Amino acid sequence: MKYIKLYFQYAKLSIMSKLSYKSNTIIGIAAFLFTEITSILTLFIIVSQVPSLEGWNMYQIGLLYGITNLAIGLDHLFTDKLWNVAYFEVRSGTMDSLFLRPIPVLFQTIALEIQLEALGEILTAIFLIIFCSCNLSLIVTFESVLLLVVGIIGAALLITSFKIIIASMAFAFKRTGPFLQIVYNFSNYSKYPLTIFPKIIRFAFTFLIPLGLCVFFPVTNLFNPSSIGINPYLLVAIIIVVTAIILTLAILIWSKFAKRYESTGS
Amino acid sequence: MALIEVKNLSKTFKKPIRGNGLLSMIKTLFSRKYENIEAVKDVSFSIEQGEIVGYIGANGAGKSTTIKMMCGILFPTEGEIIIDQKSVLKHRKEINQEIGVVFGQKTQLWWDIPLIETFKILKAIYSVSDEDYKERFNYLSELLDLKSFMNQNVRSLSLGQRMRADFAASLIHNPKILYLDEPTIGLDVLVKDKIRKAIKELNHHYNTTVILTTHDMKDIEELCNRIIIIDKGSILYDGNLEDIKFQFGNIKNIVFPRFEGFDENKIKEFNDKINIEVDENIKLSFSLNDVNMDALLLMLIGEYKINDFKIFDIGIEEITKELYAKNEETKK
Amino acid sequence: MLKMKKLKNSLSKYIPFFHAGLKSTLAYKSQIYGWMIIGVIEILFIFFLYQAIYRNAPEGMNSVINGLTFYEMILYGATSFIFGNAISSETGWNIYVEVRDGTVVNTLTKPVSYRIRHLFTCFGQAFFQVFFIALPLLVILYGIFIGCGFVQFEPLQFILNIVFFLIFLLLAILINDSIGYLIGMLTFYTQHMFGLNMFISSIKTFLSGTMVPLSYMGVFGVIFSYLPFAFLASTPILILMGKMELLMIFIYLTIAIGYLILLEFINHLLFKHCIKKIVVQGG
Repeated sequence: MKYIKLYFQYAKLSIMSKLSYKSNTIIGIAAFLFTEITSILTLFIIVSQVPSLEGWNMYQIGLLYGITNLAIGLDHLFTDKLWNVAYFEVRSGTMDSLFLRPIPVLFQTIALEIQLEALGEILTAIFLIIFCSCNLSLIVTFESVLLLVVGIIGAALLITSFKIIIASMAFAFKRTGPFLQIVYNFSNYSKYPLTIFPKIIRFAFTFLIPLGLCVFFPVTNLFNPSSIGINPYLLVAIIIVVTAIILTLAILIWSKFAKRYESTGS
Repeated sequence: MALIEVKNLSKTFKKPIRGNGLLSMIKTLFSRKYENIEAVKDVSFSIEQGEIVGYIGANGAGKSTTIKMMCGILFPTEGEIIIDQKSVLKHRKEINQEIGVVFGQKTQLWWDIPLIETFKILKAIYSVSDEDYKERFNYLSELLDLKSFMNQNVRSLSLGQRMRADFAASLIHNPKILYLDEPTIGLDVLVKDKIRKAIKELNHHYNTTVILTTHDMKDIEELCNRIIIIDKGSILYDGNLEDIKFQFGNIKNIVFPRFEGFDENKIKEFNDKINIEVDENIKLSFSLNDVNMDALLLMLIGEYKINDFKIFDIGIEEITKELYAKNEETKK
Repeated sequence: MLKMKKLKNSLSKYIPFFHAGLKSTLAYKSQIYGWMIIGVIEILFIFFLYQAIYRNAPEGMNSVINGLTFYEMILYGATSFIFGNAISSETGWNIYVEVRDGTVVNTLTKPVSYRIRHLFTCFGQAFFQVFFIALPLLVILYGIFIGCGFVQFEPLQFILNIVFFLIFLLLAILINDSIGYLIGMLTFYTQHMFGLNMFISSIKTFLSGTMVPLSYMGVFGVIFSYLPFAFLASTPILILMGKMELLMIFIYLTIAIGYLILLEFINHLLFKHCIKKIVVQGG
């Protein structure tokens, strides 16, 4: 309870700070918005060369892309500070003040920043989802929507978990930012229908980095439920269990590595 | 049992050896060599509740390293630190509730928002009760004169204001121990004075234990009843400020402007244990154990008609210098 | 002769900036392994995506889409990735840091041209990026593609392509640095870099044909090919791949030089205005 209250207090201060640089925040949001628009345009330009891509038409691909980006955007909005940890905060010793407080460092790291720039990503994702949905006849039932919502949240938490794991390694190795970048770039693959990739990558996205599990199957379920070959409710349960396990693991790894945090000398 | 016990503390840093040339930079892409730097070597001391201790030494002597280890954000290579009978390393979170820290060059305040918000969130972080918060907040903002800028953005505060605010922020949860790392660095004389008064007052009011590092010897002379002098990672001196002054023989200095017809020999005739330095001013330094100061003054006034002179004690700066020198000698 | 000597003397004072750029790149590229892995992932991704596209095209893997076969498309993607890294310039960031920290004022007190100083820092960076990373990688890449018979070039024609490519590579470095300098100048007014830089980066990526060849964009692609951004990827790569007529090469060469002069002229005016701003506001 204390932590929920504290989180909102942190969030309030973070938003107040952001708003004290109004023009910067607006430029930031606009920049992300614009970047997203150009990459969506690129996607459509490429895909429009062929009538369908492994059975997926342009709007279906757009929907998948939008849903994945929504998850990525949500993670970006709430946990952006982890990037700083992986890149320079451990190295420069600026995390000292967090370690001097009697509350968990991971909580503080995440609570310290609400990255409003992510709104640019989230807004384009929502727009893309609506636009593509209007051009598709989707099967909207309780279970398909539930699966989708759980999938999006699951995917966002999974991304956060992997970020936590890699950021926490910075406590031991000082700088793991580039490595985080690699995982981030790799996770971009999950914006596309898994079926276009070779088996090994499909396998990775279903079992190793189960983003595909959280996004690809729920989206497929919206227009071709028979092809996923698994009961939606069972899939919901699997997503929840898998996400919970990986998130717990991430927090454990973080607390293990955080014990190794050292300030810089002098 | 003492409040803080530091036992055989050592810290060794590994530092990559870097060349300057282009070639050696390319080399570091593939392999790196390290050298070991002993920042702190076998340091032990204990501090009682309510003491104000000055922890001093030159740049790179190991002051900040020790303080950081005492805060739990740097791990000792060897030895341990026990605060309130708890090991700092094993009980970091509990210890955090008991300490307040001000690093002179880094602020803990939320930079882009009004100062008051920092206090509010610190209240929540440290679970300070409403009454306690009110009492302390009023006390501290009175003591440090914060009221006038409480609603300003921190980034718009002057260095002095920010330092005072930082100081108050580190005390809002009433810690037993306050670490101050260079608390008066870069401040003007008036603000320094205000901060020193506040430290004294606070120590008196809450019986807070204060450990401060500083380069400003006036801080030490005005605040500390005890000093620990560290050099190259080892303790040179640990004890009372008066004692060390005495140990250095109650040294006094008399300074007066140089004038025509001054004769060193006359002073030497009076007492050959007086050390004379002549530049723009003339400085006589001597120990009260050897020299009768009253007689010397009478002679100076009678003989030379000097009426413009200053008398002062040996400064901690000189003591430190002497200690370093002595230490070097014993090493040889 | 005397003039040459004078020029040499006045340029020699910029050598330290060349070294500084080179060194900063070296320090940065100590994460070269990470960068390589990212590169492999990107190129693999391009490979899979286009493989799927060609597989689903009417004539399958043998289709020619917008003038490019499958292997040519992959070659284009890989080249554009390497090329983009070769020409990258930190000038915008460097100026931003100087503006933010206020050290930009110092430049007024030194007998060194601000623009040329940053240009030499950029050359220092480019020197390493081009000669130690990009060119070796390109040699390997084209070696494999030609060796395996994925693409074919007439030897003489290919050598000519390489010559023109190198000229356009130099132009790309200069244009990209000019754009970076322009953004740096804009931070005098915005005091903000991250968003601005991201904005320009995505414009560059999209309009230069880095992600997808301009020929995919129909009539828009033709228009884009005349913008300065096209010289940052599309034009040089198509020249290297022998996809451009000699006449067009010369037309583009003229246009590129024109843009460069225009950009530098704008930069010059902007700098004058910024300096005035500093002097009036006292930094």
